[in-house]
Amino acid sequence: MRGLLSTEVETVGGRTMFFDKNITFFGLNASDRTDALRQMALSLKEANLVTSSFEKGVLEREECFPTGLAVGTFGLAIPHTDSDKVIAPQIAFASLKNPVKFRLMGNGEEEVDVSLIFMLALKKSEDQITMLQRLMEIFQNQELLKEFAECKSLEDFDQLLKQVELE
Amino acid sequence: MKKLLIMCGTGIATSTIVTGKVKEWLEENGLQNKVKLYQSKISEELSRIDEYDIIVSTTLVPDNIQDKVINGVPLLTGFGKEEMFEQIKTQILA
Repeated sequence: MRGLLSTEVETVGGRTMFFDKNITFFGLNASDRTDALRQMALSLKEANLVTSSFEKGVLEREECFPTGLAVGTFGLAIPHTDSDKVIAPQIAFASLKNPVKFRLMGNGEEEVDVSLIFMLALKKSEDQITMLQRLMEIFQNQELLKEFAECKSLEDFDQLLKQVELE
Repeated sequence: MKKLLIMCGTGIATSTIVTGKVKEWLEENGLQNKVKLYQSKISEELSRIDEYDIIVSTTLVPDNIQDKVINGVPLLTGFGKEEMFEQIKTQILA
């Protein structure tokens, strides 16, 4: 199998373009998934990375096509919506103070307690396949997910991105 | 040659990952000449879903087509991946 750590990732000024705007929340306080999604989408909107319809798009899509993933005992979610609501590609990150429930992707009934959210604001697929594959490689590693969940600051986060070669 | 559709809700994020993994797996197993891959979003495919021989979806599908759709989420989480590939293989060779 092709190793992801040997592949190239697009960088801007030495930093992966998908995390360069620091849309990050450490220990985000959210009452439920809608609240968490709203706060993250708002932050992307305020940075002019997405259009004003992005939030609505993400919320609606999450109801029709849920994005919760259960990786062993770990729950994470990768909310996203159509690319026409994205101005510039970016990934917003949040670790949650208390987990919130998401429905499982590809499964209408089961729910998972999510403590990490990667909100994907993406454009065309060809540009981001390497990054997405690397991200998924990380999602399959429970130890790394725990490290992401334990990030307390932007410094911790930056260091971890560098370690997993997402920076 | 069989037509294999990989779809998700938007056609840009998870279907991209799954397509990449399926492509790698086809090559590793010498099956790449037996299937043609299509990547799309569910809303564009429901009306012509019968044109495909094999369908992998990372997202929820309507009840009436559930039986013919393989759940692609194992390729995102790594759990249940082998069983999923077996299902695809069975359908390719059927």
